Amino acid sequence: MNELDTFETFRPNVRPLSPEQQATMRSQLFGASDHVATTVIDHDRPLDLVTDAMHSAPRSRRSHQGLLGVAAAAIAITGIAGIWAFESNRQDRPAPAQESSASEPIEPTAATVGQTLVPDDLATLGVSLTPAGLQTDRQAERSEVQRRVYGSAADPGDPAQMVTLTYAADMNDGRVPCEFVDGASSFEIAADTGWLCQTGSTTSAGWIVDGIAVELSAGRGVSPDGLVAVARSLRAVSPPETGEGPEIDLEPDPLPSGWTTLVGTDLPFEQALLETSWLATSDGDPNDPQQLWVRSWTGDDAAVYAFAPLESQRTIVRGQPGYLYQSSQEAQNGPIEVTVTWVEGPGLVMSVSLANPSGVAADLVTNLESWRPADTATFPLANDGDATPISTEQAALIASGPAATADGRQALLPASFPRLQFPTPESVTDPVLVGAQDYPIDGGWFSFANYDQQIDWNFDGNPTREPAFSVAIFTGKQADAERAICGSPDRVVQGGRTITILDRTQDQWRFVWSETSGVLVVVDAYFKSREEAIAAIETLQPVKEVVWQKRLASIPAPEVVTDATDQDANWTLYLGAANSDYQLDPMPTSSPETPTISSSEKNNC
Amino acid sequence: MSRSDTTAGDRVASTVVAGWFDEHVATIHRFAARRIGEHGAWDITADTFRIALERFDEFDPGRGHERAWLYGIASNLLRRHWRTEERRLLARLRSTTSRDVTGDPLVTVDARIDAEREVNRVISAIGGLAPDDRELLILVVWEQLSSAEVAQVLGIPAGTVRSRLNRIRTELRHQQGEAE
Repeated sequence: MNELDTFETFRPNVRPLSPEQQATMRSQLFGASDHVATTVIDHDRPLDLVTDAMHSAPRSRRSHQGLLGVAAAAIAITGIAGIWAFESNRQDRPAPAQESSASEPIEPTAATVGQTLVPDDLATLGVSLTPAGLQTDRQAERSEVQRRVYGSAADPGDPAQMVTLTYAADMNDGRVPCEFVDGASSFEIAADTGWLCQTGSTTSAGWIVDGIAVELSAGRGVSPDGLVAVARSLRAVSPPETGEGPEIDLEPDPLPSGWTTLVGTDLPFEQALLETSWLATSDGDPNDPQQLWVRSWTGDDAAVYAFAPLESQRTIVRGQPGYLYQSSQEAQNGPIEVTVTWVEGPGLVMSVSLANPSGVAADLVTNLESWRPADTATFPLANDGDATPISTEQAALIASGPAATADGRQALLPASFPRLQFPTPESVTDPVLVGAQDYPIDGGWFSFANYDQQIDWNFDGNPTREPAFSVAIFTGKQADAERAICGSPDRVVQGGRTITILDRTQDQWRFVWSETSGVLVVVDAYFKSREEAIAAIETLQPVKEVVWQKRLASIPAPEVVTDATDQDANWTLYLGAANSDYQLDPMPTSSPETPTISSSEKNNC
Repeated sequence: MSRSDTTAGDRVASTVVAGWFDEHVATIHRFAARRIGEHGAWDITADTFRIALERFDEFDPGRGHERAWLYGIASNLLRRHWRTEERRLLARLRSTTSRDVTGDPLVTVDARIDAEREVNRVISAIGGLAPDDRELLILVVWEQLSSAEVAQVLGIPAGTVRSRLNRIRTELRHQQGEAE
């Protein structure tokens, strides 16, 4: 059973919607539509009434701009009708849950909702808000877990020395966290057995209290003994709130010397928490995987979110202590996700995530310095091309600082976005791009991605097998961004190229070199040894696109490329074979120089 | 655009999307429920079709089937529930481990131990995946979407779906290897 098959076994069995539930939802969505639309036409309901009432409903940019007038009103009211209907029928839902936070003190005020501030023109920022604009969400979901955070008394802000405590009411199946993890060790706790294990840089401990599985996780600066000491200091007490939460609460009695409590209150099942978020992408398409996601939390329980993952690093963000987290999993040119978390002001926790940061991750914190507060209500208008220009008074109000709104709802907008502009196909002027296409090749495939060229292939024709090579060719700004990773002193000079070698994982090596000015080649090679990978790289030869196509067309009798040195080629792909075992005709190879380490090379490639 | 034209367009959209609702509501609800639970799935499902109605003019049949478009809307809505999803996934993985793997009396003790260890490695590995990668994994493995459909859902080329899936598999394998 491979890893995908194993994951498939975890697919939850869920209870389907009943015919009655489907009918209810259908009626709310479509049954009201005709009626409301007719009403709009008959009575010409003003759009401003609609938009006022729509404050809590996401709206699309397209509908805002292209469906102005009666059409927008009809559709919007359809949405409102649906939402109102949903609200009025919540008690009929299949699993009514914690909705009682409507009475929380952080209920948005009418005055806030009615504000009409407009931020500066977003077009100058290089990004577009997604259609929904600023989302406001009073946490209606159950937290499902109780969570506390402890830290070093000597250095409370060090994530490496933090310990997070997590337990949930439904984790009571008798399974002890870590118990079955390879390399786990046991320890005694409250006349029972607990377990310790290591996952990456995090140490975890698990045990059972009154049938509930409890888990502690600690950063790399916490010793196993220190973690056990914290675990043994926790005592079960009656929880301050009942309901669907765990039937116990865990409190330190007291914490061992040297520890302090960073987040002592629970994240209750009915959260007193307001989350706002906005999303920006290069073109305003919310499905664009390259996303800038900004969230803020206010309320009594917001402090829980002030702490980034234990693997994060400390940094200073806008003059405040914060955390920078870079995912351990990496894309071709750096981490897949970067998240910056900090406390902007009293009771306001900010988190900015950049997915697919494309080499600008290091600049995110710097860029945040120039962001400024903006009010919730400005976002839908800012997303409208017909928005009224900002007034002097509005500009002054925006510039007045984070404490502008009564309920604390605010977010930050970048004042400028010079380094976070996402590359798009249109921004790449290299004439060789042929768009996003897929081609089968000798048992593998290659595709042209949006702004670089990536070629993956293996040799046995199994598309689920990992490629032996993954070759990416970067041009223009992308090449500049990629060069930032060339910090390794491990280099070989081979075939006139100075190649930087980066050890990736246990059987993957990355080779980076500048082929010509403005063209950077990055090859991930998957082989059992570094030497084998280097040998495979030696076989890579440039071929023109037309030759590549001919080669594809020649399958199953691939044409041996002999004109790879044609100087008319204005771009090249790199194709090769590791050895004859792969049933791919080897490319003609020149006589590569013997690889030599050149540690005196300057630190660039 | 005249008012009557708009009304006709809305009626077309309503009719078409209502047809989609009849055909795909169970699929979308199941997709959402698997990820965030039945309670949240109600809202996600309703919002998915409401947005489909609102943005009907943006649907381009030339780019793929409406099912993938609906999946894409739902996926985007689910992003706001990442905390719930992560907790549910990990809880689900853990409970599956003890209940489904060790509970079969016909499996030998050694085999059960081996299976449990493998499942634990997968749990650890999947828990370490980036949200976007987990989403792709769920669409491929749980929802059984094709590469082309996943590409439409996520807005990336189909080739990128395959290469990302390969990278995820490699990552899972490496993380399992480290656990060993």
